[in-house]
Amino acid sequence: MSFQGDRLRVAWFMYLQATPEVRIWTGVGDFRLPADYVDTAGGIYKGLGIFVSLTELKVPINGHFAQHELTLACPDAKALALVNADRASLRYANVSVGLLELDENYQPAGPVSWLWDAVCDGPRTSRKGQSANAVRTIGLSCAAGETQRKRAPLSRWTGIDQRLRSADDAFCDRVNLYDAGTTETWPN
Amino acid sequence: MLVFPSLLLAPSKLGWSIAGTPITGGQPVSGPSYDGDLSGGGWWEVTHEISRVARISQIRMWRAVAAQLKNGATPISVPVIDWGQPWPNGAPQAQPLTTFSDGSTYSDATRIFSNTIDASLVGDTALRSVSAVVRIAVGADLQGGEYFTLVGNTGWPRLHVIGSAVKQADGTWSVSFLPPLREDYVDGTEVDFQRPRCAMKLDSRAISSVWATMEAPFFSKPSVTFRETFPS
Repeated sequence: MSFQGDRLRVAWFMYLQATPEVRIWTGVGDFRLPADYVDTAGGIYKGLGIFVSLTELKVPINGHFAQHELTLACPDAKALALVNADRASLRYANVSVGLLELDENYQPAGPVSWLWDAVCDGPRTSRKGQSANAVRTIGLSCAAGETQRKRAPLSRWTGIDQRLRSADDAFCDRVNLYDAGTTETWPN
Repeated sequence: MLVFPSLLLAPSKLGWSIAGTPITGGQPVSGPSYDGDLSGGGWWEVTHEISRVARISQIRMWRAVAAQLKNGATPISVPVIDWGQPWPNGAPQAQPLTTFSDGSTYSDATRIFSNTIDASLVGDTALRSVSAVVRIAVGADLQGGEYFTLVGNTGWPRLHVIGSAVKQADGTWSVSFLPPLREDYVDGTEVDFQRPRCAMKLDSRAISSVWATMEAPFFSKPSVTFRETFPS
């Protein structure tokens, strides 16, 4: 990706691997992408203001859990149909977000750079504002795919953990006597 | 598809524009800010301001149109009112009714109506192209700035405006235009310079101004804003 020129034109793409697949992009009208390693079939991405917000995309390091919410506009059946895929298939479906640089003629200046992958938890709708100015959206809650929602299995200096590391090591056996009154934090 | 009666209402202000989604990267330490666009080509918006709707027939028509728009639920074909099209003799004109080549008519003596300008696409042209080759069988030379409409398999009319037009050795025109094509068009698709129009819907921000407010003695100055719409 080169980002040449003074006027940056980019488009964001979201590929949701549910049944059927959901393909949307930030621009207007349809956009056809060829098959690549993420979207192995390729297809038509739908546009026109459906993508409302793409939060900061975070990649968790050292086990911090990152949750993201991709927001889609949902004032009518068009957007609702997009996430009206089988709900069972939405749960744990893979979501990929990619960036495409466009040239001055709005043509792709290269392949899509799929920057971020996550796992979808499921959609939820939200409504903000009153009567005439109400804003209705669909939030797709996603977890960045690198972590799970639990601690590393051996993370404590307790007798149990230490004997799992080394079966005959009694080094931590008396730790239980120290920590009366402490509570292990969730998630464990 | 419904057709908006632009000509019957004679708008006093009429603005077609291609709207986009500009973004900026903020103010840098030095130099101008870096800006960009997320819309991938933009979409059409048009505002009609009608200076005076006074005759009762016009008021009834306006109310009927407003009712049929269903507050934006119904797509409508909005014609472009323009005189800059490649008319064969340089000015808008009606095409005389013609007969079959042997001079005969239909059995009830009806003759054939056709467009004054006859143009078509040469070669299949793909979704999101911004250039095409156009053959003009009947019509004047292109000069840039003309509107045209393409209707593809979905049946939705799509408006485009020519940026540059270069005549090629074989007499066809190599044109560039905006916005990018909305669908695939096959070889021979009519390039409609005669009645440029676009599939649009009522802009939800402008719903209240569509319903005519009557002023004394008995007239109204409604305005209506449409934006391009797409089938789901």
